[in-house]
Amino acid sequence: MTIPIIEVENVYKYYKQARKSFSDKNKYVKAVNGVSFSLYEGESFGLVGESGSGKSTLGQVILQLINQTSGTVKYRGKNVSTYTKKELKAWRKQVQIVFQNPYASLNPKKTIGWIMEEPLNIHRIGNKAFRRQRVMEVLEEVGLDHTFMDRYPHELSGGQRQRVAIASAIILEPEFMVIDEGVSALDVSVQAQILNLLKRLQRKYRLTYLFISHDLNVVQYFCDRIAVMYLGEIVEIGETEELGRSLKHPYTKALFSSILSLDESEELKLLDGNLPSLLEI
Amino acid sequence: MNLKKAKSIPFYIGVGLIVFLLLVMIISIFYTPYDPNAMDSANRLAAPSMEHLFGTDNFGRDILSRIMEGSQTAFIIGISSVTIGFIFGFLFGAIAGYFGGWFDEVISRFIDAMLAFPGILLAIMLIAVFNTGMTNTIIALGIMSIPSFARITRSSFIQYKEYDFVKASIAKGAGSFRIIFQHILPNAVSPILVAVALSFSGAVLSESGLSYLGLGVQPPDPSWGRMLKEAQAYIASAPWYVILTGLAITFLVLGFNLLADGLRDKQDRKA
Repeated sequence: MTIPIIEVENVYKYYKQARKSFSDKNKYVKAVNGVSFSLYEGESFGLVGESGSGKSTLGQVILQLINQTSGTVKYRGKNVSTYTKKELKAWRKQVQIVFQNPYASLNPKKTIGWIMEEPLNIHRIGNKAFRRQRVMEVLEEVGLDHTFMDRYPHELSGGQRQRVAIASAIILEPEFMVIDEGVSALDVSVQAQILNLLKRLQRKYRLTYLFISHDLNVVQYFCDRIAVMYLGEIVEIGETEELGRSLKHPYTKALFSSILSLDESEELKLLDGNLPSLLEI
Repeated sequence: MNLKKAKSIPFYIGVGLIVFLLLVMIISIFYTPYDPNAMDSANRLAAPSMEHLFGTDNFGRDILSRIMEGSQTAFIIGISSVTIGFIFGFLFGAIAGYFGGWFDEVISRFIDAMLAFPGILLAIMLIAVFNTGMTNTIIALGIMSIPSFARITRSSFIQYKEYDFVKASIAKGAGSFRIIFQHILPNAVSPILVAVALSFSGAVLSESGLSYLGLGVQPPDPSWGRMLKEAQAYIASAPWYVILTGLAITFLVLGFNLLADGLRDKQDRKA
């Protein structure tokens, strides 16, 4: 817990809203509104917040899949915006992403074997035989076998697809992975399996996770530290154990009290009303 | 199930017509009942008979042989102009849709302008500049079909570039070339196939139109459109000439239109 692997400094991401008439002023959706935090090697960092709070945007900005409006993202002390094309490609080997919907994150026209081999092809690693061998190894590591190689994504269940998505992310042995709602689309029993798989992989590859989710239960189970995002800003950040006890922001208080407990004496504090529009803040 | 089958019938009729005309075209390369250009002045405008199944024209040439020979021109022009339209339309559409920005703006406005302009007029203009003949007809019809390919490709690329599998691949370090050809193209194949079938039938029709006006394929290359023009003068004395030639054009165009409709239905059912 000493060297930050990722540092996010004052990152803003605004989307310009189309004007309805010429007299309208330019309006901006403030998806990410001045966020700073650091991720340390080997930790699981949870990013929670409801839909539209900007957590997925932030995850994609960190991986430079979306360019930020301002602010910097540093990887091991180096500003990733200053990477040359070659450096960027090399960096992409170190960082990976797993998306929420395993039905959309695998190309429907390609076999599992092709999808798994793609990262190795992109970075020209090994020869054909080596790549096949490596694909089989990693498939077994995520609990699938080599018979899956010739199948297409539509022949697989949601859990199996998510395993494939994870396998194709770890095949390059990255150091840092963004799990963007990685288990939210799965059944509860499958969620637990995938979470355990991620934990096992973390120990083996010394991975650092940025775990994005709206599910507090899952985040509390999985993460060492948690940040709560609300309307594009981080309103609370801290160790998982402490965070539950010393809440400051009213939003997080309400959020944490919404976790279902078996204690019947406790009354639920439900949030009323809708989120304000991101255009208005 | 029965409804599904009933819906597929036009599709198979379309495939049947195309396959049949394709066979006719292949046979005509090796064999026609008569020499398509051999004149027989004793036998002018003969009605269909066992000797001349489709009759003869105003120079006594065998109409069946000429229609068979003409199918080669129709297919060559269709295939070549669709290929030109597809290659350029796909490239422009893919780049515009994938990269967006000012390049997209320029190409989109250009497509709009070309679509707003009657295609056949554009082809006539190009031919006026570059002169008539087979090659120029192909180029003109090819250019005519670029905008529709570009538009369809562009919209598929805009749709698919936001998909998670594309983003996941970018996150793994994939370059634009790989994204365009390995990830988006295989998924955009079916709408593009519909466009291929439609622009093929469009090209056949436009070629006939141009040749009818005397602007398309020039003698000695045979052309259905020009035969139609020649037949027009004898519409009362030798109606079979104009009817049979017209049917050849109709079948080929109808075949590709039914094929396109069928492909679109299949695609809709899947989605």
